[in-house]
Amino acid sequence: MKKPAIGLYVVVTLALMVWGFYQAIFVAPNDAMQGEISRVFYYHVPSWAVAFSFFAVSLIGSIGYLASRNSHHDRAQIFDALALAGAEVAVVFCTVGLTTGPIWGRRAWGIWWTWDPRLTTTLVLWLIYVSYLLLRRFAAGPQMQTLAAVLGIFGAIDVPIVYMSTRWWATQHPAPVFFGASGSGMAWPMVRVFLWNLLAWFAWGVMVLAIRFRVERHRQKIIDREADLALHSSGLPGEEIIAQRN
Amino acid sequence: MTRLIIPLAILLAAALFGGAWFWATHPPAYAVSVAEIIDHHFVVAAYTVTWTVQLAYLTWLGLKWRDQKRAEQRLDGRSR
Repeated sequence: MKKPAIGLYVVVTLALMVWGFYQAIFVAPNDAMQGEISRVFYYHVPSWAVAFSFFAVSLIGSIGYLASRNSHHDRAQIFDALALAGAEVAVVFCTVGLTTGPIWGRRAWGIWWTWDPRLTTTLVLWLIYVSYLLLRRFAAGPQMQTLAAVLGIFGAIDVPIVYMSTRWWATQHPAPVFFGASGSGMAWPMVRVFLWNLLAWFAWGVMVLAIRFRVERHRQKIIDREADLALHSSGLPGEEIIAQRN
Repeated sequence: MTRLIIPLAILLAAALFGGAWFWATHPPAYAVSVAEIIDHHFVVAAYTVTWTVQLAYLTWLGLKWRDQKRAEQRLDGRSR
């Protein structure tokens, strides 16, 4: 039952990706002002929506880990895997947003990059979570997961700042299209295409997040098994083994 | 399944860049001016970058999964 359901999900996701691409390239009308370059929007904005959602997943994982690390070991490990998977997949989507944005900007503004509040806070967000991933990759010892969880929580504070930056400050970045000032928004044929791509990228993101979570859980189990094997081959009696593990 | 990861990644990369090349060299019929053709190239670049990043990450996850399977097999051998 589980395998066919996963297979069905993957097939539906791939179908949504193909449908979203078809809609974005062949169905959506050109923007009256920008022309064809406006089609970058259909990949750029959903990438940010997925990235922000997965930074929230990472935040939940980090808080859950800190709350349960001293009382429920297994639950804490699940939260930790969720925090790592959320942060890593969000960084991937963030990287997509940070590369497709300048490609659009080069044609629309004539420049690749400018240090305006939206772009700068976004780059800071990306750097915080890259440092989170580097910490997890290269640090060792019992405090690593705790330090990573704290960094993950602090990093998440930047997400609402990035979201609100175009509302709080005057920026070169376009004003919010959705939930913006009066007069903002898009024509329905464009909104429909955007929603298809949003759905497709969320489905893709959840699939990748699930794979990353599973890989991390698998790694945790291998480490536990290696530790058990090392302790049992040391020849120490059970009580001493438990004392050493703790 | 894990043996297929590298050939599959090479096939996907070839399909991605082949498709991007074809798409870039076939602008839509309405693109008649130089500016419109350059716009088209920028759209192709943005979509190609997106898929390159996503598929590269998926391939990296696949390789990581394969390494873990091998580590698990080594552990099975040691515990017997």
